[in-house]
Amino acid sequence: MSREFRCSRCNSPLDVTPDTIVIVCRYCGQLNWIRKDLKFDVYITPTKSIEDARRILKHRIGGRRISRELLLYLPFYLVDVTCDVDYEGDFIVTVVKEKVRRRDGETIIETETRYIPVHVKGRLEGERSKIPVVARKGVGGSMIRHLGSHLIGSDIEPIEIKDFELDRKTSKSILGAELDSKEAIDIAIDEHLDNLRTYVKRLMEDEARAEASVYGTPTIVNTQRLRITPLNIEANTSPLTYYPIYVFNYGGRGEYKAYVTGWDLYPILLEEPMPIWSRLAWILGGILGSTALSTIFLFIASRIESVFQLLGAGVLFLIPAGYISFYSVKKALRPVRVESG
Amino acid sequence: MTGGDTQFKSITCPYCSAEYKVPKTVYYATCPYCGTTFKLDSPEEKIEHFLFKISYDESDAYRKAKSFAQLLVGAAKDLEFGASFKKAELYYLPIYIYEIRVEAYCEDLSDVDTSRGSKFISVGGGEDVKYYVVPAVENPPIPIPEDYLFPARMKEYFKPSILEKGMYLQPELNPMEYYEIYRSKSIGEAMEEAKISCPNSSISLKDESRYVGIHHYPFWDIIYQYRGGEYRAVVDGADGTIVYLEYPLDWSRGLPAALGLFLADISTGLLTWAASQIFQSYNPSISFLLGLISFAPGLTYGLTKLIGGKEIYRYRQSEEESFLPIR
Repeated sequence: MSREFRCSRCNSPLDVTPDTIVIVCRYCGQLNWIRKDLKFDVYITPTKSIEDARRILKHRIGGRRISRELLLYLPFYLVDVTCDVDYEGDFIVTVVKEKVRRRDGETIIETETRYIPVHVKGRLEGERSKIPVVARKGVGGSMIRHLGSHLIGSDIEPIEIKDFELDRKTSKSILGAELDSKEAIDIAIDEHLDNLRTYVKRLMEDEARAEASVYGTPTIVNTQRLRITPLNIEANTSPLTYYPIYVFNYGGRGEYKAYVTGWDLYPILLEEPMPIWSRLAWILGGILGSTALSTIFLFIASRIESVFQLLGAGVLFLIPAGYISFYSVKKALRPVRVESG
Repeated sequence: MTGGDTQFKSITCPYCSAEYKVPKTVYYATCPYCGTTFKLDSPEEKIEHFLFKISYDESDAYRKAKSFAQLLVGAAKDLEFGASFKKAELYYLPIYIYEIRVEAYCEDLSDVDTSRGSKFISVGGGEDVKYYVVPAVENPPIPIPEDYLFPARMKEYFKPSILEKGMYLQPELNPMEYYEIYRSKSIGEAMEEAKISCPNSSISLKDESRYVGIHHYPFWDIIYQYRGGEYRAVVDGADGTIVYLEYPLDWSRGLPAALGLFLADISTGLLTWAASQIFQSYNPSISFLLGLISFAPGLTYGLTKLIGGKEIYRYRQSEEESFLPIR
């Protein structure tokens, strides 16, 4: 249902959207706070001018014409998550050992396979990461991901939104915050712990492999029992902060997109035409990759006799060879190349 | 309550009391007079209902589709001037939004403090926090990828005037069916994580999941003509993403690329043959054949994109940046 908002000074109608947190009246210039809950403890990062952003982009795109420009202020929380992880597990590691024997003046190589049970136990302390969470529901994609990564590495000094000089145009570029700090913290904890579980599982397998390596060369690690317990999880979030980003469409024959951050004018994502050399390079990579894997397969196939081993080698080398050719041709035929900062 | 037409039923808006008809299949209705969205079997239950703002009008969307087609390998070169606009329809596609927040605690060990800005848990279990975005119609009249996400763009309040501007699709699917599917999936994941976290402890579940509401999302469905043939383009009205595009192929542009791929396949065969000679690993003709086969998936993919009269481009969120343009 649409709602009607009026200016607190002149009572003129305000063009309010669900994203509006503050709006400047087009008739009297009065600043009207629609989301009064966001007036305090909300920060905004001042942007450099669109002329500066255009100039930076022009360095990269040369004489191509900019056809569309848009400034957006996106709401983010930067959540600092720290935790310890206590882990233990039982693994069976397959190890292979080659024995060289001499019989009747002939060298015989014998392969011995053993299955070594390994128990791994340990604890990581203070595993920390800073996670950017965009305060919008169901929003995602490359731009959000790259902007988040860039925020983490940037030296930014946001100011309180109430101290920010808002004009009518700027107030319309601000996207409303749809998540509160608690929701952002839950999202960040989920992401941090999911990454950590994957990391710890790999770490445990590596430890099991290292322990079993005294018996031979480790090949396969089978998990028998696993416990990964996150402990002492602590998360703190920055205040809700708005970051400016310019969205440009540019081109001549065909149209491309570019995202430039507003505070440091960094092109985080830039589409460019696919040059012919890039297409050829991908095809060449496909040829070389497929050839290398086919050759390895042939080399192995000429030295084994069992049909099962032959099938195994086919799965290990021929299927990836086919995938490499498919991947490289798909890369070569893509419509644009995307450069990320 | 049932209207004369068996496909529709009459309802009364709980807010402005206007009477109007809606298809019998819908779960939620939006009043064309005041814009209130409510649940049909529980009219007092109003929900969050927003629209994404249109930034690309009909001609912007057509121009964008045409200019994008020119970036595709093998597309007709003269599309810019040879193609002509036939018609465009604006669809507002309803989308359900779900917030899934599940936490599985190791029962006898957990200690949670959710004070503002900080969260401290002595022993964690499992958790899953996600937002799901699902089309609210069973067979959308426009081809939309399943993994399509919202862009960070402006929203606006629902206005009855948009009903005159385009095809406003009413949500048909029961939102709670999807809600249960996603909720169960997340509970399963969180419980699985908790079992790994504390295999010997009983686990308690905290579920704060909820159905958030409906958003209507604008898409342009465009038909254009080129040399007597008709082609279709679907363009995101909020951020201009080309979601679906049929485009004419020009053999004179596709043929060199197709020949290049054949050459690449033969080169792979020859190189594999040469390598097998160096390592004395296998029969030369089998080596050559194996090289050809290993490049065959690439060749097949390339030929399907380059040969024929017409090709179809489809946007997939998962291929953004790697193979497709960014949004």
